[in-house]
Amino acid sequence: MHEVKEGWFEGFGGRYAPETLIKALDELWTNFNRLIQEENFLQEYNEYLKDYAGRPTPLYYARNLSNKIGGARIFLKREDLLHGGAHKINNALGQALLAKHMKKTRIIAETGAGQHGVATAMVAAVLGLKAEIYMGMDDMERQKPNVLRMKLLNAKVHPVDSGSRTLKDAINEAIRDWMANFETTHYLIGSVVGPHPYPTIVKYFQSIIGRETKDQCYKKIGKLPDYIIACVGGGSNAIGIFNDFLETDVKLVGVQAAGKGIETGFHAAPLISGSIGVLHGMKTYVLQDDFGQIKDTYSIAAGLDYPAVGPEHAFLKDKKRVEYVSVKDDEAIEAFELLSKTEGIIPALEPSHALAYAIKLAERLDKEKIIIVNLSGRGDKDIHSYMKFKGETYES
Amino acid sequence: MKARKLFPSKSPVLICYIVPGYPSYDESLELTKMLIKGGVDAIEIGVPFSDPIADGKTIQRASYYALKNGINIIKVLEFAKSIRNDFDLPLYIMSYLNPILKFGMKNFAKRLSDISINGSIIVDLPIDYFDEWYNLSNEYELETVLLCSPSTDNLRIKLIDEKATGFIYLVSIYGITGIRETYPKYTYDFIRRIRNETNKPLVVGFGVSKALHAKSFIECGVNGVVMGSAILNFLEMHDKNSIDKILDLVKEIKESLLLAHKL
Repeated sequence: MHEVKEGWFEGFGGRYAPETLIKALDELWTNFNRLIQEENFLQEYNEYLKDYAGRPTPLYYARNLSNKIGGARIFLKREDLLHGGAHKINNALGQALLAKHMKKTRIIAETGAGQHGVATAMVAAVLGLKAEIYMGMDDMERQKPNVLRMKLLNAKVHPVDSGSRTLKDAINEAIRDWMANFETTHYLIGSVVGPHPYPTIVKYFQSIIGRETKDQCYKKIGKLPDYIIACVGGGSNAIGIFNDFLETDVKLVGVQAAGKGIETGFHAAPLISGSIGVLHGMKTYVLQDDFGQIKDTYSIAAGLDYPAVGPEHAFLKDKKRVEYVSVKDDEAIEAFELLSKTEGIIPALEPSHALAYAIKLAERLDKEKIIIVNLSGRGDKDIHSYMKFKGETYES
Repeated sequence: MKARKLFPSKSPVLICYIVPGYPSYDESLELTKMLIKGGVDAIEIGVPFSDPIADGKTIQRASYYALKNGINIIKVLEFAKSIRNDFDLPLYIMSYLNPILKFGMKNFAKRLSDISINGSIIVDLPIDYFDEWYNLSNEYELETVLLCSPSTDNLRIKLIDEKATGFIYLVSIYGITGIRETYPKYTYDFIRRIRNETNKPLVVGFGVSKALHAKSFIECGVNGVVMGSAILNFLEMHDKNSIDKILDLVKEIKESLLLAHKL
């Protein structure tokens, strides 16, 4: 049997793709495995990570925030300091180099919050590739600065007006483009989602976050932390920081977007209230109705506004290795304000969810305990959404 | 009523794809009956899906409105049953995997068998994961249909050939559904390549919208064509003559198929 053994996380994942894409997925997997064995490729990648993206990122002790809470000590893995303002560039660089070595001349990507779109546009510019980004029209509205940044970076932004006009629909449109153009085009997926081999490839490029964190823990704190907390939309920043800690005793927590509250139905938390299904080529937890139609989602954070989740998270949930919780819009907003005021760091609304959970947790723990939050992106892009949430305008 | 088999067929077949619930349930039912009376050889009944990644704008819109009209997989099966009550022509259900998974694969196979549906076509269930559906189809005496694309290599074609008991659905192009003027050369190379690899009935879909398309495919040795978006495009015009225009096109394509076959 011509069975794909890789790409399964004990029953989750797989490659539920239309026949047209199978060849492209096979080629990608073969080339990925070849290139990550090549010294030149890895050296090139690591140089870009260091000199272009700005790695390593600091592990910062948020003293003021910790003191204010008066419980456990909170450290921040500062992925927000990376070029472009988010962890997305780790993966974008890796895949764009992969694409270049595969002789692709064009890159397409989906984007929700716009951070992945910006990262893709940047790496395409520096590597001399053509970039086209699919973005839901609702997301274009709430993440306007990123749309402008992508355009400045010479990427073409395609507004997606189908379905819920958010991340899910942008992925649909990118897949459609790829089916027609995979001979010249690489689809640069921004999270640990999609058909095999994407979840594995994106994990590979994002797991630098966890490797660095582990190293910094030993050097700075002299031990591993008690908790690592990360937000989970598709789940790439979370897999990135969790991966090196899966075999340790560190408690891992993934935070999904509860939006206006799980009970209201306006949320984006498939790991909390979803069921197993197939979307975007993978078997995983999805938000669906009784007839297998994918539900619309809601979150103030565009980057978490997705009805499915990376298949490895589905596996880690069922294995009970990671605890998945959810945080509402208003709680995330509070954390967003608190970090800005106490530490002078404006976090993106996505990791503000992780931060909100960390704050609640820290209150219950003593000072000896250590919590690391993956601060996956900066919040400049979210000022508009924040003001809107507060009922204020730029002018007032 | 017991279903007729689509193949073997003396002459090339025209299959029409319809979306129950678009423009409305009653209109789609009426359209289907008109198509059957107009001479189409089989109907592919689509299960509308919220995220139809292999479909172009036309089928996306039709699916969207059908879902808004309250269509779901259960109503699609009711629709199929009411067609089956009046006609014995071959009927297939075309769906993405997730609605079937939610319904339950075994339940779905049983239900198709109960209402004498010939079989089902599942867009995002590749041959690699086909065993479960293959076994259920055999158990419930359903035909299996698998898709092949220009990017499918000969090794996969061999596997597909082994598991396709109904016919092989050839995706004509790299890309998604939707009408087009002409086909690239690679489409014809692909069809000839598959024709050499298998004796199974071959049916071409994606973009078929002209008599000339049908003719050129028959000349490459296929056994039929599927038409979908072309029909939906006429419906979208909301013209009182839409049905007549659809039936004219059906007639034209049927004639072209028969003529090409005789040559």
